[in-house]
Amino acid sequence: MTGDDIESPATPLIERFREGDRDALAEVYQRWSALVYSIALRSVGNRSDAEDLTQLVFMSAWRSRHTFRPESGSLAGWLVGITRHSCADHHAGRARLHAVLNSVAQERVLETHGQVEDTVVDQLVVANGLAELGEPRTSILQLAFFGEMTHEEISRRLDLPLGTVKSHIRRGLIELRNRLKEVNGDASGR
Amino acid sequence: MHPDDDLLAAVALGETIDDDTHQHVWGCIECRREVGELRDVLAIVTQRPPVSLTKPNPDVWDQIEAQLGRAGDELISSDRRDDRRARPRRIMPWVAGAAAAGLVVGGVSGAIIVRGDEATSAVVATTALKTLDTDRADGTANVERRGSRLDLAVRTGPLDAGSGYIEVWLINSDQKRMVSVGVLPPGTSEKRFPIAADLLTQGYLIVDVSREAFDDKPQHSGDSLLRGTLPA
Repeated sequence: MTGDDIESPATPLIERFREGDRDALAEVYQRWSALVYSIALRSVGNRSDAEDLTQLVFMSAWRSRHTFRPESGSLAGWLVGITRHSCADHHAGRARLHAVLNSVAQERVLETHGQVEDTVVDQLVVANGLAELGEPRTSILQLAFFGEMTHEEISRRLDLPLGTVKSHIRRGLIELRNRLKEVNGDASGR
Repeated sequence: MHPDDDLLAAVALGETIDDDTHQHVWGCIECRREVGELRDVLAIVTQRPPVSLTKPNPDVWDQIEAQLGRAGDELISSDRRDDRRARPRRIMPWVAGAAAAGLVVGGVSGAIIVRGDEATSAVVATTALKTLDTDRADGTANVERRGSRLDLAVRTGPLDAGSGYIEVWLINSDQKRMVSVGVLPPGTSEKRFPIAADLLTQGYLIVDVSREAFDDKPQHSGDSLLRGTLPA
């Protein structure tokens, strides 16, 4: 429900982005810059380079927005892909940073050096998804998973019916699964 | 008949379910796979230590906007401007001047508004926008939260863009940094701009509406029409 809210105004975000709507880029940045930056930070290990990479990733995405194919994956997955390419380039050192801008949209073999492990990327994707669920769902899941509170405790703490808490946790888990699938290119449509 | 996602999630979460569902799930390859996937996600989300998502410094977005040639580029519809190199933007001397002179002529009339319903948009902060020369209120700027998203909603009276366009900015209270929020399209007096959630906490509290020329300069023109300060 909340995921849809964000994209509800008339034209979907993806479409507006592909059409070159600057506001859509701002929205894309707001939703996924923390994810991109966090992956980059883990890959390169310092803020300054990670910031440069984040900038490059969004510039690349914007410039090659016409090449994005919604049918073959989500925007988040595409951005994560570009991030990985960019990190690989950074480590390979064979491309000056600005060259990434022009070549990142092309298919190419990834260097393994400096790659952030898939499991860490998955963790970050899920963390990003969790923050995006919207309230009160985000808080409920955080209390359940990080606060290790029982459903009854959460129900009392947030003054919500027990059934509502349970339902949020189930729906939240399903949403997180869907986000992860989108990014990993396994769109089963569920 | 497969149980719905909700029930499968309940199974993955280890909740007690009725016997029929239980029997079906463990006898059905498809449902078992679904439950397996959901458990994987559960394992990821509860993994220790938890990963922390870090937001990039707001300067990163400034740089992107600067590189894109920002607002003018959309109106002029020229892609060549994309090739410009990013350059850090410096605050104009006039801002520092205004600050020294007792900061922000345009009204410190901001006030915290009680948050409304969580599901709809709730006004988090608001300020009147006033003309710099005559201190006349001619609009408002609201920061509105909708779900996890933050918008700056700007409403103004009719503004004269001259031969240029009208741009909205957020200026940091440190008087050293500013970000372009976006452009008010010609003939528009009201627009919502998505903004990064941490801009306000980082001190970008001064809402500034300026007149900009199509001059290929991404910096603030210095020609401010309206201004207001959001409460910290």
